[in-house]
Amino acid sequence: MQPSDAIAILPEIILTAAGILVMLLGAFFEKSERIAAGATYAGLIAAIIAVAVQFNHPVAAFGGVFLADSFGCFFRLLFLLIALLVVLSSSTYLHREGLSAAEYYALLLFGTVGMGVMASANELILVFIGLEISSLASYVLVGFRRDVPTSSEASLKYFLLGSFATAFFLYGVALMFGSTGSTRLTQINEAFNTALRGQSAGTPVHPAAANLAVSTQFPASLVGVAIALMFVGLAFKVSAAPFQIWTPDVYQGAPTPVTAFLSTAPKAAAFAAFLRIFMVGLGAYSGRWSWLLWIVAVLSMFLGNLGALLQANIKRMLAYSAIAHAGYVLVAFTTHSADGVAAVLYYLVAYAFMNIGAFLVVTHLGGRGERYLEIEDYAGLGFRFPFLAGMFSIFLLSLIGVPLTAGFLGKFYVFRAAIHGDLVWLTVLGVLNSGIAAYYYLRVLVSMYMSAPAREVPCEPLRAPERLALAISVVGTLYLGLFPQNVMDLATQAAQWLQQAR
Amino acid sequence: MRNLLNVVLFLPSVGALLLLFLPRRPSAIRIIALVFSLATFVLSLGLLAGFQASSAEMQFITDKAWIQSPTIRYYIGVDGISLFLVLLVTFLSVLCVLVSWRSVQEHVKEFFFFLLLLETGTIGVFLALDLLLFYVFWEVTLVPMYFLIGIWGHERRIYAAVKFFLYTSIGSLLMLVGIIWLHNVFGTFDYLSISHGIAIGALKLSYPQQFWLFLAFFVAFAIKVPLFPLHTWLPDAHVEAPTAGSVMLAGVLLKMGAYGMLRFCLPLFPDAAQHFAPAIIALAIFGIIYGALVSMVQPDLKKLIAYSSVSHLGFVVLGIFCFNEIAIAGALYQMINHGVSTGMLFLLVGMIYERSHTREISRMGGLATPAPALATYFLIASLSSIGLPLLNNFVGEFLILVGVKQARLLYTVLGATAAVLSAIYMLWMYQRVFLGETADHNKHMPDLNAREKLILFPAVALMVIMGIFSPYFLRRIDASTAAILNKGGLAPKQHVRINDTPHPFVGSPGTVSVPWVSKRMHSAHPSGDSERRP
Repeated sequence: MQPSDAIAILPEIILTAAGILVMLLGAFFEKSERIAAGATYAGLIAAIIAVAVQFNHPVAAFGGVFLADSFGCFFRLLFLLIALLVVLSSSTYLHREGLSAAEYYALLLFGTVGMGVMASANELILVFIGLEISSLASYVLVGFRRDVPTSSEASLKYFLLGSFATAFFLYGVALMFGSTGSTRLTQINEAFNTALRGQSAGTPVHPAAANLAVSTQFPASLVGVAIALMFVGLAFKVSAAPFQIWTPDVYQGAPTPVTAFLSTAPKAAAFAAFLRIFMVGLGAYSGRWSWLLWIVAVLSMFLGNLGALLQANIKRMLAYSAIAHAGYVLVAFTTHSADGVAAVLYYLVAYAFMNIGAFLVVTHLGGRGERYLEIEDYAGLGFRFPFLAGMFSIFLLSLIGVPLTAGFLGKFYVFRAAIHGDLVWLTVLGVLNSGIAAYYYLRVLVSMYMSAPAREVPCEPLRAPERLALAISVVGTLYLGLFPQNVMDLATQAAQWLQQAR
Repeated sequence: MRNLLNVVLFLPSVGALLLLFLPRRPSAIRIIALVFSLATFVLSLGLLAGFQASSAEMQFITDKAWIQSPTIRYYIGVDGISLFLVLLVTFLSVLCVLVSWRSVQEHVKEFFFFLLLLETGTIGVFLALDLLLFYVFWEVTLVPMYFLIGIWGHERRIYAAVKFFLYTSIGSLLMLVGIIWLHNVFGTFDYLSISHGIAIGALKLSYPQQFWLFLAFFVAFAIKVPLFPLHTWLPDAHVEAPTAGSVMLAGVLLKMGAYGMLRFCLPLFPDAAQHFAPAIIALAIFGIIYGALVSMVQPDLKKLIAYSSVSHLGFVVLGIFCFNEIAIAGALYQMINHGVSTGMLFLLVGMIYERSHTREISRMGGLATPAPALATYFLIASLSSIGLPLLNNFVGEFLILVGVKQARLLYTVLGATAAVLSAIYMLWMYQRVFLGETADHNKHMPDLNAREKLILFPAVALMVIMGIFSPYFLRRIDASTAAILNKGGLAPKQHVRINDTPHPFVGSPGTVSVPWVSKRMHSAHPSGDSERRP
């Protein structure tokens, strides 16, 4: 390992060290909550600084296996931000539910490490390793409320189905290696390009090229299966239909801050890997997989939105809505253009702010033992707690996609990319879906502002960390809705980088 | 002066934000809301003073970069088409604040917050010159209106609010696709440069493109207008909304649809507009008659007026899609008239409701005895709505009918039946509500108080002013409506502008001669209208 390699993975090193430290602190101190939280914040902030420094100095570490490029850094920054928000919104929750803070924070940190690896990996095995690191952390986090049956059930379900999905992915990787002779994305791409060139020329012209073509001559069906298997594994992780079955149960059973985390960070990480593998590694074969994305995007939007219409539990509703939002992101992905990738990146950031904000309110109002999670429980909230309800309304309006919020510009960029890529029908379907989606978000608003309270729901005042997290989420949501330029520039830069890497 | 338009646009929302930080003292909140809406109105009169009547160009332009990639600009301006609509918004907003003074007792702060926010949103719709900015304002109006209906409405308010939101948002989302598509073709959201480019032939849309884009825009606007058969959200929303909400809905939000058709559908997609015109005219005429007939049988006073809006707005759409300058000027005039008259009718119904807590016509009757002032104001508003000469609606209807006649006599005949029908349903309603025997429970109904008279008087005055001094308004409208037609190449080659002939007094022979003059000109030079049909 060279010094430059160490610098490339410095954020991951910091996070791992912080995670281990937090665990040790938890083991040695009786009342470790505050110290553990402090160490976590310190680790996250140090990692954020490390990534920020790397942003403009792309490094290819470990012989090009790990790329600390603008694409990877964009995502790592996003994960760290999400982790920070989730930690801020968890401290009160952990205290209220009597859960051990140190382990929880350590798992969050380890999960973030795995995601950072996924976003930066230029190599399929490394993607798999990152996926496993982050998945294992999330399996445990989902079941963190050990004495609550739904939480354990969710954890088991997530673990079983998740393992299947990663197995699918690994199988795809193996077949890909078998057919192209490499697991390095750039090399896979070269192999494909050479083969396609050979095909288009009819017969290989140059003897040297002929040799190369022979060595990379692979049965098309094998590649097709490999692509399909990897596709399944990643589609599961982004909770895209028809691989979404686990989402509602897991999101409902998990502790609410963990749900906020799951619906944003691991999903974004899966999208990062998805984009890098398919755009860089399989870019030459886009004709083979873009129609798959088309179908999965449409299915996700419809199943997510129609499913959400029927939910009475707010966590479940947001879970279905998460499926639909994955669908919108996939619409942008289907274009497989630089525009589309930038739209994906922007949408994921926008979604992170509004969704974490929404879950934060749900966490707070859930009360001890998460008892108040029905939409009915929000009745009358608008006038009992105007501030909290006002914040929640902003998040919900942003999720609907009302202008001046992050959600609108996110959708705008997605649909613009889709129309730019001549996917007019997909755009129309997406747009109709956001119309359907408005209905169930409005139900919550109806409940908050227009219904009489059904039962007395207690609500404690917000604590400082929660206030801070709420403030960051609201400011982020409005900022991205009013002044998208900075983030969009970064997203475009990352997208172009990815485009060039092919 | 340069920033006057920006101030008019954002002053209400500044007021709204200020309200958020005030303590919950209803009286203080009401006063602040009134101050802000009144100040906005007064400043908007400044627009009228500084407006150059003869120019068809945008005035009071502000053009600032907002978002760079893709270029979205904060680009606003006002011309003859939007000027009076903006004034209508600011005028009605003041009345809405006043009429809610006593009737809104719960959540006063939130109410005025949303009302002021709605004012900014609707003004913005009429001012935006960047397509995406237009869409932003267009969507933003939904949210405050949704809350106004849903929180302060009547029994079925939630159903009405959700229906309103979904109906209009699905329509406008398709418009968003259209806007992005336009951007994809032309590379800009700048309305003026696109419409100018199309006018001089520098930019071109193929016919299939026009076809789909026209539909995407038109459906959004038709829902808002609402054009039959997309009108079903309207009776619910109007009836369930609180008085101020109904006034804003009928007075302003419906005009957004008609405004959109005029501003965007005609100049941007002229061929498709011509292609669709017969079908749209048919729907409009059907709506005119259908709305009138349904109004006739309504047992609910508010619903009656709501359906009459379907009829009146059908008239406006008819005027717009005959591609005739006089008819379009009439349609625009009628939009403003309808805002004033129907707005006032809703104010009056609200006042009756506050007294009797019912909107059922059968439970009223003989109200003129205990409340003569109320009855008088109601009569004036009804007569205005019917289109009595010397009152505002007459001018608009007359101009539309005259203009439409140049397209086809049949349209005029069918359209004119609405005038007859409106007389029937309005007068019959008036008779059942105000004349006859007074029911016992209504014997002690209090008459209008000073505040209510203060609200109603300006509206009545405006009706008379707009009925008598119409040239003052039309002179400012003309140039822009002509320009809209010219931009799309929809205007006949040889045309006479209304104000080429002086007409100081509508209803006098001078005005009647105007259409005849232009009619003769048209027959002398074969009308370009028929030539242009593909």
